[in-house]
Amino acid sequence: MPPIADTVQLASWVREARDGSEAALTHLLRALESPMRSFFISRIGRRPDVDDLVQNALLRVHRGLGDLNDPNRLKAFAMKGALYELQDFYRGRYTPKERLFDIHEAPEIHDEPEVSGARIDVEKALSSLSDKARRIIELREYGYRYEEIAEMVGSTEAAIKMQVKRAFARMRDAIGLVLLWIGSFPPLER
Amino acid sequence: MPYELEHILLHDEWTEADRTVLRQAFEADPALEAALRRWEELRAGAASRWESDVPSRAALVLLACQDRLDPADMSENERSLLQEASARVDQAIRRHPAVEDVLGRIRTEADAFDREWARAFDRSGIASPAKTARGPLRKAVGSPSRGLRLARLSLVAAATIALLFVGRIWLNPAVPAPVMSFSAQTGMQVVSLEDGSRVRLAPQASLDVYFDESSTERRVRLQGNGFFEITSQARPFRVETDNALTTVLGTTFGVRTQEGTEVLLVSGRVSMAPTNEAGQGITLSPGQRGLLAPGDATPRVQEFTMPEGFEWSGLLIFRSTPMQTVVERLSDAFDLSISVSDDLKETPLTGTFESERGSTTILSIIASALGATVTERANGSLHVHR
Repeated sequence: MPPIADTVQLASWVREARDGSEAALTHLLRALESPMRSFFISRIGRRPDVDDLVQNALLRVHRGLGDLNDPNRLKAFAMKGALYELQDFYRGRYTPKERLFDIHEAPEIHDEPEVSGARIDVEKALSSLSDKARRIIELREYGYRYEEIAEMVGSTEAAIKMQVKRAFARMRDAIGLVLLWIGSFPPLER
Repeated sequence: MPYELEHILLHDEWTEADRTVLRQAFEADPALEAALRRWEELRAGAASRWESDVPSRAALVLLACQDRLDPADMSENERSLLQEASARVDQAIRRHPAVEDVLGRIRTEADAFDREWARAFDRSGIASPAKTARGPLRKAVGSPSRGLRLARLSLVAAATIALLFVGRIWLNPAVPAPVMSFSAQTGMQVVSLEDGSRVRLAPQASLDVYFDESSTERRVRLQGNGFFEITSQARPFRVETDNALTTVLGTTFGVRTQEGTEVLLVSGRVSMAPTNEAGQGITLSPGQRGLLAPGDATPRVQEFTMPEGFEWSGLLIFRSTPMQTVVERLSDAFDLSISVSDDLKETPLTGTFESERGSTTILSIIASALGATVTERANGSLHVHR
């Protein structure tokens, strides 16, 4: 069971920990665990990731105690660490697992020539999107789920997903036109 | 829009069944595969432009919370970061209106933190035990990876482990506390680092990370076996073990530490040296293995054949490997009889596969790339042919 503490006690533990008290440091971190855990659960649900987020947020507090000039400002200090960890969690949410094409999916066969002109003009493709669609794609790449994006932009999850589908269809049409153009004219110099 | 495409575009978490549907959809519609590849490029392009134009995530936190923070609440680095971000944010918002959404979300998250803090230390200033969450401090542990997802098991360690972990840091103040720590217990764990690098930790391995986005070098400490995929950056990446320091710039390699330190290099270049300053370092090229036993002054260099040497990582790595060798390796790995037609035997293959994906999936991917078919014969053996 975590130790009973108030903000005065927390500030006292911060001072003692900075002076070298291992016991004070332990009490401090154990007291912080509860609000940290509840906070992360409230943001991402009861997932296994919560334990790592709590652990790493507490490590930030531990490592940064020397920078905490006023022990009475522990809450703001701990909040910063928790928010940093949450943003890092969002960054790692989709990058490795959602990627559709990577080295595990597309083994290279060296006797096939590289296909030229197969990459899109990203700026042109991005400019073909509506402002709302681009906003949704950027928030998705930041790491938010569609239901979170809907909450952020004041829409519904169904409407957000419809925007994504329309953006894909528009891009698919645009790509078709680009490929036809490349086939009909001399290749561009890059 | 077909159901499968909707599933692909909008699904939040991928399973092997999802990928099976995807491969079937590609076989039926190659134009769909091309379009999805371009969609991936578009997403990556959007992410890249965001990274260029928008302040970092840490800076966004400081921007969103600056009305809650005193200057004294921030380190000197954070104050500089906030100042620089404040000068850029208006232009970032003009180019990327979603920045406002992110800042608003972070403020909402800060409000949530305030509420949880107030619950834990209520108005009377006394914590109510009934309100506190269960679960002691836990040392990070990992779980077996599924496909390419970053999966982690719930922590199981007791409070004493966490106390010992904290005590270890405190009792040896000369050893800086790591930014993050990971350890794999019963299965492989895949770790994604802040710089985009990935590390596959073998069971019982542990990794302490000593850098963040503001660090001038990227340093980690490994115990056990780890397979590293390092992003190329100006900041050197250093892997410290008990007796060796390996320095890399954008490469793929594995490190084993059961008897001294062994580094197997798949791609890129690394230097390897003893941790004591009296020793001499060497440079490895792809396909070379560096061996440094405890007490040795200089690592020894040997050649190795991929995918030999990486069995412990759970990866099957092929680099211009003739298909005949590929099927022999797959036969050994999965205890199957697999053969390849004469016209494909010398065809070179380059690819990396997680063995836990299974023989059926791996053979299916390889056959698809070759334009070939996998046929099961009457005796149960598998034959790859066009």
